[in-house]
Amino acid sequence: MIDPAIVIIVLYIAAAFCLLGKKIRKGNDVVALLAIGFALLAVVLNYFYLPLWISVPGVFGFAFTINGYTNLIALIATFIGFLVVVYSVKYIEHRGSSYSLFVLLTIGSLIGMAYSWNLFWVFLFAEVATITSTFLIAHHLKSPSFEGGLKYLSIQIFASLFVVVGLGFIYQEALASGYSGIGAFSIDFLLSSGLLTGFIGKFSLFLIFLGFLVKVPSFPIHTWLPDASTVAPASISTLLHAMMIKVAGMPAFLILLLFHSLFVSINFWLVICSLGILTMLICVIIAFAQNDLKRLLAFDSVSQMGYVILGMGIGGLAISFYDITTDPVWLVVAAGGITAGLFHLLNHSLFKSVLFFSAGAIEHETGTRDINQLGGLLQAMPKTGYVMLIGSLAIAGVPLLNGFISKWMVYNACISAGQPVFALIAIFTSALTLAVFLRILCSVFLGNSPGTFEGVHAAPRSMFTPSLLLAIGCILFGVFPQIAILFLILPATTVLLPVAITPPANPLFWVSLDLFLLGTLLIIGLIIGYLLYRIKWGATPSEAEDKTMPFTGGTLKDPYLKVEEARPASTVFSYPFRSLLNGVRRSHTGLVNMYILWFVLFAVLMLSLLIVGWI
Amino acid sequence: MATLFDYLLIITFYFAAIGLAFFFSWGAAWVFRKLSARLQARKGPPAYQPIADIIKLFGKERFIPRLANKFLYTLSPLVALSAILILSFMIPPGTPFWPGPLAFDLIVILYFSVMFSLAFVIAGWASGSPWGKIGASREVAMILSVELPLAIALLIPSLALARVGSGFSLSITDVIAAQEGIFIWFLPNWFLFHYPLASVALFLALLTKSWMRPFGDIPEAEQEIFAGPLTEYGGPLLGIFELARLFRFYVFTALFVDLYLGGGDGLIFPLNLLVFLVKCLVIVIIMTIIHVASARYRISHAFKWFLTVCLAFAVFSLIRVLVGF
Amino acid sequence: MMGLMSWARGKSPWIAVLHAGGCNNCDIEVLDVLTPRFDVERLGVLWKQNPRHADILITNGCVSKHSKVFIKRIYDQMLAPKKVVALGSCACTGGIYVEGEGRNVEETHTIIGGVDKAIPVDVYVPGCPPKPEAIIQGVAIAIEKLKKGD
Ligand code: SF4
Repeated sequence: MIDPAIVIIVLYIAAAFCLLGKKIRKGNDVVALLAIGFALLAVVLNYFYLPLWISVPGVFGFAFTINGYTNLIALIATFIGFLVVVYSVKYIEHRGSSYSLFVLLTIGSLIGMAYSWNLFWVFLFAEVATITSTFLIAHHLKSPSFEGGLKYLSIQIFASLFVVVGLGFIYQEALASGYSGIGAFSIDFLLSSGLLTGFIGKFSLFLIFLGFLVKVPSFPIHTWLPDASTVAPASISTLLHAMMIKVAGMPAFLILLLFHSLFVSINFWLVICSLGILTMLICVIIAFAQNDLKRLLAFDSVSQMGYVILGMGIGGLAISFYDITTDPVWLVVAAGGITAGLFHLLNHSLFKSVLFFSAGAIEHETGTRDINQLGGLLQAMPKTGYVMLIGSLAIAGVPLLNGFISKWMVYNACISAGQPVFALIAIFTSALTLAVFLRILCSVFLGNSPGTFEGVHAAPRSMFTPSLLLAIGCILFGVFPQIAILFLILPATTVLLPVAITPPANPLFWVSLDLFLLGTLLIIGLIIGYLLYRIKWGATPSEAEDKTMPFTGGTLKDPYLKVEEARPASTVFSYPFRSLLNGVRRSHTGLVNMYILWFVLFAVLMLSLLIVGWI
Repeated sequence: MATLFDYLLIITFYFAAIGLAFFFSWGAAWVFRKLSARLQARKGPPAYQPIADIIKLFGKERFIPRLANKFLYTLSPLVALSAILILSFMIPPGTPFWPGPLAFDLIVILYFSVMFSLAFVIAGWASGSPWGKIGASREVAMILSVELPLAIALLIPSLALARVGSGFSLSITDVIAAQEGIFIWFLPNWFLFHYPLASVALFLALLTKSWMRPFGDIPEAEQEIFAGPLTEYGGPLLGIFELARLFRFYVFTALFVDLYLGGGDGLIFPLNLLVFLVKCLVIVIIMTIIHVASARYRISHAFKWFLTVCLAFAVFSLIRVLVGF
Repeated sequence: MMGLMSWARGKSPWIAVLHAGGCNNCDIEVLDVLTPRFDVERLGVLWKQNPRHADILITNGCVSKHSKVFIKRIYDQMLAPKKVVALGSCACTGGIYVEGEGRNVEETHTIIGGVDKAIPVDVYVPGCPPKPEAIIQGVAIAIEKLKKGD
């Protein structure tokens, strides 16, 4: 086992090296790859809880803990970080030393945040990651990228204000009880000493929760993510979507679930679940109207985080039922909800990275990311196309891919907690997600090429391999989710539960899904179909020159053939939601002031609900 | 964990279910065509007609269009067939003692019905035909409009059994088992009488799923866009699609009968199957009459119907389930 | 296997109707065949206006220079085995639109002649327009040819 402090120090030192090696680009790559490779090795070793053989003296005062939860989050951060670094080697062409520097700093801080078990350190690392990633978002040094970066920074800084105030309240409490120093923020200390009681404790934790909820992000305060990830390079968008919003956002639910004794109100958890529902439904509808590939993916990311919020909310709801009734049945339900949320978190990092890596490859090769201009890329970039097909089907929840399992678990958690309405809206959102991704697939990959992409060739191997790896992960976790759930998710769930439960015989918690059988039957069906297709039934093919041309009523001339370039107008899909969409379009002004105003209004609403005592 | 023996048993049942579904669908498809012919004062085709069509399609030449993506063009009919075969196994023939639903639940059934439609969407796009693309985008629109009422109406019987906590399951066999006995008077204890509005919503959604007018044939409206997603298909691949579409007569009616019409009414073995098939046939006849008697609606009308009327029906029943009266 | 296949082909011919030129009356006459009085669905005939799905192509009207390409292409796009029925005098020879007798017609400046100038024809159904009974007989002969195979 390697002390996480070593990992972070190594990453920071490597970042400094990148600053030195300004002349040699290759050197930067090598240093970055070595450092992140070491980090990956260390994090994987930590998984096995080997005896400590490298450690640093406590002079730095880091407060790291290695348990199931921190392991899971750190693994996501490091693995995706590793792939991002690999991907950047070919993807980022004009980079000075600053790119590697800031990537390593951001990844290092996020790993530190993942391992920290002290609210102060979590906050500190989150701030470092926020500031360094701002430079990455503005990497292109054009005015839209500056704008996106500044928007991101200002909303984040405003959000951390809430965290600071919350931490201040906690410190005040600690001082009043005679404690001082950073150790007063340690989660274990706060849990065991019972320092946080009553209204002040609840209020301060809720402020911290609001601050971190911005980073998740949740519905009314989601606007920074699409803006930032549209202008950022694709590798940075992946970094934002696949690790940043997860590592930096999950502390919100961590504190809520750990300090569940302060939040026993059923209404509170119902509000959290409704936030999840609103997030997933509204953002997926906004995603319909987008024409920019990356922006669409970004809105869809927000929508997918809604499932995570919902899963965590159901977990909390069941825990408070347990606190009220002390019926161990509710513990199982809570475990189901939290497992579903965390599994969807993991799956989302997998398939969203696939999609962003592929989108980056498309932009890199064709120079545009407008869905209406792209077309017929399955001929030009078949590998990227099939990988993106797997990612899209996974995110849309097609059976035997990982997105289906985690969504299924979320629905089951909702229904077993007695909240079927949430499950039904989540099912509907899943259908909408399918439609969004069909639109991408159909017009970008299957549609006919408008002719401008003749010279487009496949993406370089270092840009393709990361997405291939992740797509294989999607299929693996889709057919054998037991692997992920037993080894990655259940240890994390156990940390978040108030009382340890014995894992049930079937790790999916409910006995009614046998994926192995499902796969067998599906393959039997495919084989039946294939045999029917391959049997020689006896018809000799006719020879004719125009036989394979598309059927257009006999004409192959221009005005008639134009209909071949037909694309599904986005209006077909967004038709039922057009009034809602118009409202949304009017409200997304792009002004930071407005977005911060939304945040303030949202915070005021939630806090007044809290103060009135309704939640 | 299931043993190898269990799997062999389940696979045996799978093939039995396919056989049952195939022969029932054959008969139902003939009833459908004969009855529509009689309603239009025509004679109608003979009983072997549905199967002769499919055999003939297998006897035509194999063919792949030039603009098509070969892999997806070939794969999508197989996926459609595979999905509908699994569905016909997962929906038990009226009996609560069926090994399939122990391993799956209603949400899986819902997802596989979406997967079945998805195969048509991918087929339309992969075949590189303009009519295919238009048909495929209509199919997506139909998935969207049907999905919410379908999901609500599908889950209502299971939710009405009111199980929370660890004892909960969404298995369809529990729903069948719960419908034995008498409701009031002489009425059987079917969910049709408990939640009539939800059953109407489910019926309309399934009508659409099985390509029946007034909404179902919007994606393949042959007067407008030839055959929609299947325009460029021909020969064995079209045969596989037609075979998959043949099973719709069993799958979607069986789903309705199991959920809202009491399945086999808890009778002993040969009787319950018989009662179940008769009920399915009645549903097919009602669907046929609606199909023949109505014109095709425009796609925006379909949206409006499903997202207002049907959704209102379904939500009303859902509120009744949640409030519990 | 071959016996089953020829039975199936005989029992399930799907038709596509193609209007090449002429006065369009034959086109309307084909519709009669589908009506309750003559109902060809008895014979398994389905009206599929899509050459990819159809087995029998019913063409009517004389072929003009303009439509020759289209007819050829639509015929090409049908999948084997396929048969063609030329319906009406126009489709058989060119009818009143050309001069000359039998197959030995002269091209005018727009009209080429019968359908067999563009694609191979299997069954000729003369008449101006042919009676529905004649059309059904023509289709039945085409079915017999389909049964024999390619
Ligand atoms: S054969 Fe007679 S009825 Fe038929 S198209 Fe020619 S002119 Fe008209």
